[in-house]
Amino acid sequence: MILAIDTASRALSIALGDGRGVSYAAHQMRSRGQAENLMPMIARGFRATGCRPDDLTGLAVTVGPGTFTGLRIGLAAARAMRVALNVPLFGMSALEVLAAEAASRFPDRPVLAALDARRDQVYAQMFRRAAPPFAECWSAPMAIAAGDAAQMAVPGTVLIGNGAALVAAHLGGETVVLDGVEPDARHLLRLAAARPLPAYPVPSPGPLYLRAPDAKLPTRR
Amino acid sequence: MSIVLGIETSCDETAAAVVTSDKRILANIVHSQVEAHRPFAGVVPEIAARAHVEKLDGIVARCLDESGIRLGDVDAIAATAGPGLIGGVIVGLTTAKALALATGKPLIAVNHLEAHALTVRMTSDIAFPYLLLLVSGGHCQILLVRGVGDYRRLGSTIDDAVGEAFDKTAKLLDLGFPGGPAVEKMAQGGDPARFALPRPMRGRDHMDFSFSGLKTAVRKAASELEQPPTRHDLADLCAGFQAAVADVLEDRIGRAIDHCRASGTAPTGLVIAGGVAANRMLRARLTETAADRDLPMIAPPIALCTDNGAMVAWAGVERLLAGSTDSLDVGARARWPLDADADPLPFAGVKA
Repeated sequence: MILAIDTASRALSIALGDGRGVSYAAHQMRSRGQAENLMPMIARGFRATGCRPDDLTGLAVTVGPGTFTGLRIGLAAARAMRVALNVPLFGMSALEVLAAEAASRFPDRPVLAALDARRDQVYAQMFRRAAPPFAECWSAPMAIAAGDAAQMAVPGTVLIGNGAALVAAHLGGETVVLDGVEPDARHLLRLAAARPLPAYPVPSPGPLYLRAPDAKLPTRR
Repeated sequence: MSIVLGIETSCDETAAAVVTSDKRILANIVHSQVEAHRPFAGVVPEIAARAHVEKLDGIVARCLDESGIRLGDVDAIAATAGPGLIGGVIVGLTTAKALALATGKPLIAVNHLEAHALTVRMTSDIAFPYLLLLVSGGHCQILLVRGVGDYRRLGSTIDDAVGEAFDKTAKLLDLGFPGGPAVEKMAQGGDPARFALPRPMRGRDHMDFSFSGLKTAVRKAASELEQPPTRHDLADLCAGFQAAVADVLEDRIGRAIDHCRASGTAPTGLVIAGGVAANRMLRARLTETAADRDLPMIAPPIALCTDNGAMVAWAGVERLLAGSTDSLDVGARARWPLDADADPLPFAGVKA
């Protein structure tokens, strides 16, 4: 049994399951209260499935990009559970999880996953179709202007994520826009179950911020 | 005997410890982020939060390893839930919650100030009630500790914390970060009387603090020096600043002792905690202040005065023995006064 967790963007999402399918999933749209609601949500998942923490054979978590505090909540929880349970932890970009969802809904189309990064930017990454359930990376994840992200799209591209509309505003027709979609732990679970989990003890996955912290160096007197 | 794992991430130390109810520290690991913050001459909250999430799980694992205790054998998992820099607190508290959920152990959401307040009970035999002067980069208050969970705030800063005043003075004089040790070192051999610096709040009929005026006075004095200032100038200015701080602390604490006695409470001792308690000159002055009033001055060892996991684990022990645990939906709190009855002070923000 694998536990998948996403708190990286504006949702709180978990899923329990394995390669045969999802046995429990919960998804709340919220950008506040993720830290308060995550553990109770997981506990409900355990109760609903009769699964105990000891039954977990793997963990999966989105590592960002997204809100700095949000992605740290998921990572801190998953990394702590890895220490407690001594099971492998699989870290995946929130953009890849979005791309997996787009790929499952629109086979044979390229995907541009985009999350609103504020300051007139999006976190964006381009993918092309690959053997299910994967979407193959076609670019690195980047924090870029929405107009620049639009340059990556080719005709027929599916735009997905809460930054999809920001990118679509710079494009003509020929695209499918799945706006307002947040990463869904069910897709994270699917990806984790399909890939060989890293053997313990490889280092824990780290955060993917794509942006330096806001801090100004002091000016000399 | 109970065993508690404690986690501290409320400022720029990533820390974990395992402590027993019979006052033994089985492991105590503190990872200081000071190098990451040094270029900024102060703690940058986002840099701190980033470092916590990268380090904490490894520190917890190493801490358990060193203690010889398996996670399954601890009786509770405690973490600082505030007050402090919220991004870091969330990392520590979330880690503790996940450990609690995975093991089925109770969670204890510890107030960072309470952890400082109770540490002395782990390191010394002291009876309630005692007076606590908590002086650090983020806090500056006088508390009457009447029992576990029973605190009365007698005074607090209305602007800067005293450790903040040290840091800002050091930044102003380009002495490096953290400012406390830098100012203390520079003050050695300096003439504290050369610069006439204010003693804010001294003699006032309450027990609050204010340090922003002192900081401004230091800036003004520094700007009037011939540039660049000589080492001699810097030593005199640091010594003057430190003497002003000592005079203020002495005045406020003396008043607090008198106030308690006048209102029928005889404290058993004066306890000092927080990073500023590591300053030898201030320690000596406060020891005298207490002795003048026939009171012992008791401070935990310096390593337990600055932020650490053992103090959080110990507060967890005290809470566990008092039957007080928390549910997994407990929230992190940037502001969390120990004395819920005390009013917030106008410009103190989270520091009161």
